[in-house]
Amino acid sequence: MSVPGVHVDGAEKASFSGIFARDLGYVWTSLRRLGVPKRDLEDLSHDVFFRVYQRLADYDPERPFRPWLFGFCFRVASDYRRRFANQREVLGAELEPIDPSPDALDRLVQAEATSLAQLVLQSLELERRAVFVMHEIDECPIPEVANALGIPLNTAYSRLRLAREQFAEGLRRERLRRGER
Amino acid sequence: MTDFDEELAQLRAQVVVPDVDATQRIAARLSRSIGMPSGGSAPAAVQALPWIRPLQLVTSFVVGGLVGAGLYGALRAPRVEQVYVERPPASVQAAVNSAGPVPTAVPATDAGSEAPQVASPLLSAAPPVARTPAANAAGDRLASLGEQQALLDVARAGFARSDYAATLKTLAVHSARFPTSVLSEEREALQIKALAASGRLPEARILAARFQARHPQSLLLPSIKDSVGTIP
Repeated sequence: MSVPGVHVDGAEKASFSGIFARDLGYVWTSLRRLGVPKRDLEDLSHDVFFRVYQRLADYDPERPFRPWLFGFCFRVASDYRRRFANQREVLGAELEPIDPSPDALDRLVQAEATSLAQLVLQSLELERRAVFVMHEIDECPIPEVANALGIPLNTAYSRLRLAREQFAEGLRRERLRRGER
Repeated sequence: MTDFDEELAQLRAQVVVPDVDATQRIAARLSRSIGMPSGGSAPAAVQALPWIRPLQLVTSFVVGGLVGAGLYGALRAPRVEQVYVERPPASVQAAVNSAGPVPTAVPATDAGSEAPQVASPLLSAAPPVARTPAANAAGDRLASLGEQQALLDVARAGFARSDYAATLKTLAVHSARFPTSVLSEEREALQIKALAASGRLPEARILAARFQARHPQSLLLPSIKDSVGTIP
């Protein structure tokens, strides 16, 4: 895929390579936490870095880099879920047909979860999950979360509160279901 | 520690990373799509990930080195030294400190022109300092790209703290030292934004119009338009 009109100079290439080398693991993990199944992580990681490259000039060096980067992960994951929900591709008879139900993606991702916490995390709705992951897992201050996701501060706090409640309730229910306690 | 905290701690510890092959494939795709140098990128990525097993680490160096060298040789992509600058080198800061005043707008001398002309060393055709074209070219070739980038970083830092006079001064130094820099597009964009942010909109718009004419497909154009409002 070529990008018409993109001006690329040596310094940009060098600094972007550094970002890629340093943060590919973070992008990969973040996409996973945002509910991207394993089979599509490679494509979507590429998409994240492609978008980062396009917007690199907009990055404010006074702000922390990873929340800014997570914003791209969130938007790519969000677009992916929308595309998945609207997928109507006709597949060949020899291929396994796509499950058209709206929660098929959730079921796929939850099936890949390797722990109770991951399973419950994947049950949170994406917007709340993004705030939860940034704040509770990446330990990013809420004002930075709001800025990175482009949402009002109060909305970020509200989503965090709801996500915490949902996560705690999800843990409780799942343990009951498993008969753990 | 509560159950909630325990589960969170588990989530923090559960980090998944791409394997070496996936890293190589993503690097190769980025190389094709945006021209990112593929040689060495993948091994560097693995090197930066402490949780990779030692065997994968060694494999990544070997495979990545071979693939990188092969791609480099085949594509003959210009290899640029990667430079991280936490703070400007003393020579860069000294150059900024010893620079002259910030470029200012001057009245138009051309009777046919209605808009003021901007005496900008960044966009003017002739270099602002008395250097021969041959010396300029030779100097640019010899100048380290890292130094150019470091000087731009100083300007960006000034812009980030809203010190637009310092930003413009640094950019003027950059333009004087590296008139044909590969970073000139970025430099011009930053100058326009600094002018606009400091209230010098007429000058910013003139430079924005020139920028648009010279770089109609530039990715920096949207942010320039945001900063100046309307490009004449």
